[in-house]
Amino acid sequence: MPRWFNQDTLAGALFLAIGAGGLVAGRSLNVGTADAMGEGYVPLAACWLMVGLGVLIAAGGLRASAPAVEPGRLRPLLAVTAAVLAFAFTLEPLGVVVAIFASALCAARAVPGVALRSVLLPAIVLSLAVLAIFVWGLGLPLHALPRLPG
Amino acid sequence: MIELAGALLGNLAQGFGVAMTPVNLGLCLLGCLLGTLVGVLPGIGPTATVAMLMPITFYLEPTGALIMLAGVFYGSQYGGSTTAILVNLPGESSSVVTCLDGHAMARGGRAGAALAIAALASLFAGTVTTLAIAVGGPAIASVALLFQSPDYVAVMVLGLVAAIVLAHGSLVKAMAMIVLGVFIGLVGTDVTTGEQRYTFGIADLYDGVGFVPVAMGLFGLSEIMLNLESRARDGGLARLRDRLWPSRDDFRSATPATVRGTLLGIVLGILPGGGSTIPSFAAYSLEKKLARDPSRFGQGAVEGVAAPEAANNAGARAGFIPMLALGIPPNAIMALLVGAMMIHGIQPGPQIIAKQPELFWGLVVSMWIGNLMLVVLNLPLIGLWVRLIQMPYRYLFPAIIVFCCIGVYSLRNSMMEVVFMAVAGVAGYVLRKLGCEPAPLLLGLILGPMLEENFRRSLSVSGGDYMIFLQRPISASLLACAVLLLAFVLLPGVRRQRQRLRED
Amino acid sequence: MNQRHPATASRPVRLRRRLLSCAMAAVAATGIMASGAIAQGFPSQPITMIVPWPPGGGSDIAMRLVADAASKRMGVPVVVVNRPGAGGTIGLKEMASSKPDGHTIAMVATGAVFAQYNNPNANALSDFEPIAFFGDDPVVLSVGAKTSIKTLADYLAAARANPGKLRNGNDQPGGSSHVAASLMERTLGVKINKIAYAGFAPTVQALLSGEIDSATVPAPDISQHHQSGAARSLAIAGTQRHFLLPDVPTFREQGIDFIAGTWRYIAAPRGTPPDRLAILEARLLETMRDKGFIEKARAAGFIVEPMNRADTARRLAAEDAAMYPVFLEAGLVRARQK
Repeated sequence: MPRWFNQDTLAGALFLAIGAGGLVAGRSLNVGTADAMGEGYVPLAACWLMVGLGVLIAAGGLRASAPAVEPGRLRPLLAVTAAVLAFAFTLEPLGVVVAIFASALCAARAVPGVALRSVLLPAIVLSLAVLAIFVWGLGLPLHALPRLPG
Repeated sequence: MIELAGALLGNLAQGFGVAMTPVNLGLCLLGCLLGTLVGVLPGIGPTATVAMLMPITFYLEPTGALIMLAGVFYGSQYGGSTTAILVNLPGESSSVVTCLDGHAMARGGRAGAALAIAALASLFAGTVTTLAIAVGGPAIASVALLFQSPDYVAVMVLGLVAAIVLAHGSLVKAMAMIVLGVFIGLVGTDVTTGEQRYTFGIADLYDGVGFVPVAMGLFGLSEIMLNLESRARDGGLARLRDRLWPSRDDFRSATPATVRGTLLGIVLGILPGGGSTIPSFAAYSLEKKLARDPSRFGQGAVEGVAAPEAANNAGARAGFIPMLALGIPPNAIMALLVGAMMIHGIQPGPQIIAKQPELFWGLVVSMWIGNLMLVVLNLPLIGLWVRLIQMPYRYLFPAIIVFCCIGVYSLRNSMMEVVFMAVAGVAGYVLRKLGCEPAPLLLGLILGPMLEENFRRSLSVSGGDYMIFLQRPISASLLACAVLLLAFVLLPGVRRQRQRLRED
Repeated sequence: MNQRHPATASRPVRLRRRLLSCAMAAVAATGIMASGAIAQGFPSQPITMIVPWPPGGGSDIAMRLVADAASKRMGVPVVVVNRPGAGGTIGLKEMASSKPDGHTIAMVATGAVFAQYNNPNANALSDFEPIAFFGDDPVVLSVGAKTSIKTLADYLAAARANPGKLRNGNDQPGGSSHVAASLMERTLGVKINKIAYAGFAPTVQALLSGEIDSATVPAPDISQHHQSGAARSLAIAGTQRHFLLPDVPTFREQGIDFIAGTWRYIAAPRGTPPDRLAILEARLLETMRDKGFIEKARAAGFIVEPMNRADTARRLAAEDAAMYPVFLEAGLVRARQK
């Protein structure tokens, strides 16, 4: 890993990119004047600030003492994200029980070597708990099972 | 003086008479129980619960109905701290700060101590604030009427500067995170012009990015990702160290922090928009500034739990003052309670104390009783909670994910909110890998829209003259405080000199 | 199924009702009653009422009162679901795209007129079938106690003497209070400085603190302050005086024909069979004309003035015609044109 590849340079670049992105995406916003500010006045000012702070942070990354990036692992990141998205996209069409199973199956991928069997039981317990607390107890407008067409 | 005390005693006696009837005691207990339950579940906040319970109150007598709804409110706040400490999930804005040191304590095996300190600090703050309401009530409320837009701008600037102090890493990164938070907070429909900003045609963004999905993603989901990659997955989150309860040393450091947090909470909680969030951030920053060794903060400092918990409870209760005395709800939950009062034909406002003394004093006293009930209910539960996080993590984390998803979904009954949470989770992971702490971003997100609105309004009222911020005494003095605080944080010379003074 | 429901719905125990409706949903989902029930009559399952605003606001309270009372008359539970977002358009889109079988209805308010012109994602009013009108929530023109303005005539004089100088507190452009302030400018022939606040509570707070000179907010938000003397309400933009402000005359009483504020009606998706619309209309009108209901709604600050489908449609057309020029002038018409 090259020396410039550290927490500060990357964070600086990230803020610089967000700020610049905001300036580009917001270029059509109306800035207005101080006594009648348009919708773009404050957000664009925030973007410029982010650009400035990004440069400042990145410059700090050129110091020898800048902290290195700890290596991450892709597997938990992807599995947890997938678990949330699986829940989001199955809940409305397929009901809360299917959503819980879909989410639990995705989450299980975060840990290597988990047998399918050891996912099912917790998922059943969790489904029952969720039904009892949220659907029956609190009366949230969720439906338990898939809706049949017609 | 004696007359005043006599009147106060009379009022409180009347309040106890109302609050201590078996029915009202039962409703208070029910409210606290329900509140704790929904508070512990991540994402299902007090607002949603109070809304869901509103129809039940059609059938109750108004004082009892309000007592129950108020019980849900502080019960859920209480439960929210529990989740924040145990699994690093801030269900609402006021428990963000509790996550920082509370969860650190839990990771260090001191979850029991953290929970107990949080409970007792809340009880203390609740007691003092209730007394303050009883004594000062309407007089305190009129302070809020002195505040105009420029003054709110100054309060928020001070709050944001306080958030920089909060960071234990790089200050510049904390500033950048605040600005990013403000920027994200501005996404949506502009209040002043009605224009869309950065919504990219996604209807779910028109009302802005919600706080809860962002907070749960940035804190909760990224925490799960980091936990899964670093620790032995078969073990629990934390092992219990020698003792469940706080030590004598814990109490010694928590007590002054609690007192300071309470005072801050009352003062800041009265202001509209303040609620319990700004007080908790401010109290944490204050403790960190006063500490002999600020580096302990973020690593499980007891003061870092006691002060913000005291402040957010004091702030939440102080919010009742403007609601009851002025009829102006300072935040969403108070607006709901106003709604509940209106269903019963009670118009909250300046006349409420004279016209409905039994309701006003009954509510005040029941706030204190509810607080006591919560502590009595929850202290025995601490052992149970602590055992819960010793469960094997591979069973615990899928459950946390599902609870987060349902909670976030229930906010607007919208799957897009759940998707936003997933995005925030990835962002939180990346930012934390790059040494950027999420807490300042969240404060920016909450304050950003209010800051912009008041900033633009101030200048539109003044005709574009920036001097308006210095002409008003309130805003000028608050801004001066902010500048001083910033100077203390940023100027290395001042910092070093101060350290030398301490050492002498 | 139909016989079991009236008994449960009339009981004030909501949890029970939820349990039952949930069980019913499960039964429906398994397809046991997929086709048979519709033949047996309408409504055959719980009715979902979408409120496109967050819980606790005026619309939510009004509709929860309606849903609670209507459950008894419909014979099935009427369940309120809050789907806030994008000025009410998200919830209404969901209603408009749900199955038009009468089991999904929604509340539509003033803002929908604006949304159809301003927001390309919003539905047009013609996507909804009106069922029944709930009532009006007229705005009240009020001034702060610190101003020297005592009457509507004073206000007019002050506004004419200082064009664009009087500061009026209202919500954001397109919101009902902002629209009301704009309509007022046109009707009175004056120019004021409209300052936007996010919500009526902060608007009233600013009026009391003296940051603004006047405010256009609904009666329940201002009545206490008018009575205590902290603010002065000059005129109300309704057809009659408001029971919360009995001493405040209407604009019409003072010779100015000006009506504005928030109104609410209940609608179903376009394509709902007319016989079902008629059943819903009849039940909702019965509900809202009930003395007990009117009392309860009044206590919560609402004027209930139910109207049938035809009258509601006529009223909507009139509102649409009055508001469009305001949006056009403010440059806010960009989704579809009239």
